[in-house]
Amino acid sequence: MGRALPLVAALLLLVTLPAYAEGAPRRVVSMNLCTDQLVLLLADPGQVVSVSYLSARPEDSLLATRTAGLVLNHGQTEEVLPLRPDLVVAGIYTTRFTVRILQRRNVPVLDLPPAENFDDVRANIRAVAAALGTEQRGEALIRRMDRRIAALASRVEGLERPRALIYRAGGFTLGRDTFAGELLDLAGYKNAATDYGVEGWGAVPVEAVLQLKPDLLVVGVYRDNAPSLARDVTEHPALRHRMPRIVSVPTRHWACGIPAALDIVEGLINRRLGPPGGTS
Amino acid sequence: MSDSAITIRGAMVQRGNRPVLSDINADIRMGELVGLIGPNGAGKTTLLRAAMGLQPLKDGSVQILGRDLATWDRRDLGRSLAYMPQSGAEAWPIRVDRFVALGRHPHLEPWRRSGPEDAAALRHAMQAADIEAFADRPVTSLSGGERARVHFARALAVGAPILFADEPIAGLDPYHQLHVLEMLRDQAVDQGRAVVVVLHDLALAHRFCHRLILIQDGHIQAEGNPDSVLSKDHLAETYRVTPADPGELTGIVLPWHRRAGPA
Amino acid sequence: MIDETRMEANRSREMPFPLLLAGLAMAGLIAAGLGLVADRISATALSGFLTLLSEDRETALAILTEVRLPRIVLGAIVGGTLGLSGAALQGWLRNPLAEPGLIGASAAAALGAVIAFYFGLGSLSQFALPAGGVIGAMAGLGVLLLLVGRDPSVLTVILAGVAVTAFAGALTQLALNLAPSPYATLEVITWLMGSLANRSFEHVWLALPMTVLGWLLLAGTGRALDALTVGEDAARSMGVNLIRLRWRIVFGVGLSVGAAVSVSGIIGFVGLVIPHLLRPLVGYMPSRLLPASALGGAALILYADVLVRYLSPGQELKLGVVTALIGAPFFLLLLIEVRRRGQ
Repeated sequence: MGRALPLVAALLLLVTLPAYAEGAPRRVVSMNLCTDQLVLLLADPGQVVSVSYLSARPEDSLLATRTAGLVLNHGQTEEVLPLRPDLVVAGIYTTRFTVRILQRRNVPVLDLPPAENFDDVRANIRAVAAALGTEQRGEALIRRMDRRIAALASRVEGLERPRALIYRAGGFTLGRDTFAGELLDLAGYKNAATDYGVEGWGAVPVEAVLQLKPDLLVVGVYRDNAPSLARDVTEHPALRHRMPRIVSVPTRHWACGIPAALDIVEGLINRRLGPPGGTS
Repeated sequence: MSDSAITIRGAMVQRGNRPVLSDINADIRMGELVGLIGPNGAGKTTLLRAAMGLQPLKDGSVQILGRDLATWDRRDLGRSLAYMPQSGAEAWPIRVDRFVALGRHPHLEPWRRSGPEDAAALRHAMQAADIEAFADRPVTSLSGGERARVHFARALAVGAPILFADEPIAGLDPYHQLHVLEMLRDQAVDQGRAVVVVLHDLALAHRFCHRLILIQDGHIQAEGNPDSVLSKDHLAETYRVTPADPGELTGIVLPWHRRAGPA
Repeated sequence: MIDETRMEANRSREMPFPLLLAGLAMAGLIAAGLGLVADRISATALSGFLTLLSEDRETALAILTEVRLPRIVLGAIVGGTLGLSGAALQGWLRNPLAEPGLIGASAAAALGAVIAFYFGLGSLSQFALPAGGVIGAMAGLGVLLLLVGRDPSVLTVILAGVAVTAFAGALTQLALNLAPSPYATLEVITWLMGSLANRSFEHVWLALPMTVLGWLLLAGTGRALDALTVGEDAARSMGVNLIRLRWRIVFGVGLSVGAAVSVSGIIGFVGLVIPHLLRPLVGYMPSRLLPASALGGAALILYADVLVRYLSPGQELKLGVVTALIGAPFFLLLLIEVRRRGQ
């Protein structure tokens, strides 16, 4: 994907930076798709022993290629303990029993909340970088992210803000107060879920989508050919025929609060204004 | 023979590897009431079911009205024989007249409503069973005797020349025992039907049936007129009982006639 | 008899049959009308439907024809199927507690649909989903028959149904365990709750052929079911072919319930409640109960769906959850009544 190129370039750059500090963990295990990605972005090669199995799947993970040679875990205690981790990174809503046991055995555990906005992303990056002993790399990543945010924001500044509705499998939407909502806002769109009274997460029936008449329907897809009962809703014929514009965004791009989620924003802006070189 | 209703030759029925009936030969003619008797578990009901084609034979044959059972179309057979089960197993509390009308089932064409013939047969059956008085009551609300008459009427509504009844008077009071057996005998004598009835009451069997077939352990032990079948020897052998001497009979009440008039 | 007064009371509740059918059809049509044009359903924080009709006719008509109409048609199909299947199963087993959900047909249909969907059969044909539901439902009924044997008593059927439901549920969970998509579990659990929300005519065309075939098979069983009132042997003596009847019921219920479940999820207890309520009104005749229950089931689902949309617009309550909330206590009452009568 072209959008992923800047990210890959950034990673290559980071790999050549000075190694982690003395006393930093050397056997890091991550047990959650989203913490995996932060760990993979911020750790030095050889510092990570294991990430979750989902991270090795290209349809779920943006960094699948970087999991080669790593042990893939399913968040099970008996998978993680034999790896003798000196740091385990977990999401606060997943693998809770494993985390409990690890803590009881005095394995250092870093619990990360899911990011609901860019401030959360920054906080998570700093937390992971601090735990890995790669603080400078973390700050560099944040600077690059913020520069990219500013650049994207400037492209839509002063432009009219069309209304967009995020629509996901099962007929659910994400409002202003979510990370996806923040991405939509950054891309220069008003979140139509607000007109339906949804600020966080909520259901929107198809007939309400017709009535809301968003200028853009941003449909989340898991992967193009994966069967899904609930995806029927986003493919309802009434929407297919009547929505002026529908874009599909793969789940892997916005499932986690990581800088690469900005690819979605860039994609939405390019879709509206054309590629950056073309118009300006 | 034109008056042959049922002919059974060498019939054998097995359940698993155990023979339930073996070497059964019997002839039942039109116009006679034949009683099937025998101790519990002798095979009376199995024989009745085999004669109706409800119980597959391991060996032998059954002819109904001169034709082998296997060659009968099931619906045609359904019009040629009728079965009166013991009462009490009615699934739903449907109205008596509708219950009796179910007997017209083998006559109804699919998706066709019943016609005047069916209505006439229904009327006749209800009259014969004397149940018109409660035609519109739910069948499950009736007493045992009334229910037995309803089942009789239902079987009669089929209009079949052959009538089977499995212990039709079990659990009935003396009045209704007499009533049901009188009705069955009338069907044989007055209407010329062949009637086969499974009975436990030997006195009533002796009194009402033209002929008796005594079964023991799946074999026919004796067959013929009631006096010869219910001999002292047969009773001792099959039922392990001996009849009373006439001198012993004082104090025994044997209901014999029904009183006319309302209950 | 103690029952006498009760039955006498029941008798007086019988209605002229054509009038009853017309009444049920009318009730269904009113529910359909409500579901089509009701103002305040499915529209929190937005203008009501009638306002929309005057302000933005095109959108309103699109909602009417492409969203609400298929939902109502599907509701009628699913409700009719459940009512008809319940009535047919009860007549056949001579057991007022038989119902597609309780005897495990629905759970087995769900299993079939889940397997068909999540293991890629959907890419072979769009009909793989309802076909999976149909095969599942028929397999479930087959297992039930094996378990019940020749004794369709209330207790045996219910216990066998519990066994089939539990086993099908376990296999569904196993299928989810092995499913390729991590989102499958959540999706299927939501879908199993049973709903008509956001369905389109694509779902109608998917379910309709097999359900109609199932209806036709069941519609032809009326007289045989009536004859069974007399008892099995007596029915057979009148030429009722019990083996053919069994296959008709298994295929009829399997086709219609299987296809319905595969588009709506599990909507329980309709097949129990409707035949039970209507039975006295048709004079307890199993044949008459079939069309009455089909119409009644359709009407009940349509009303329940309107209720669900009215009570909780937007993020709706699941229809299957609501029918179960009403149906489960009803089932308990019925069980107590059947036990008391059985003494």
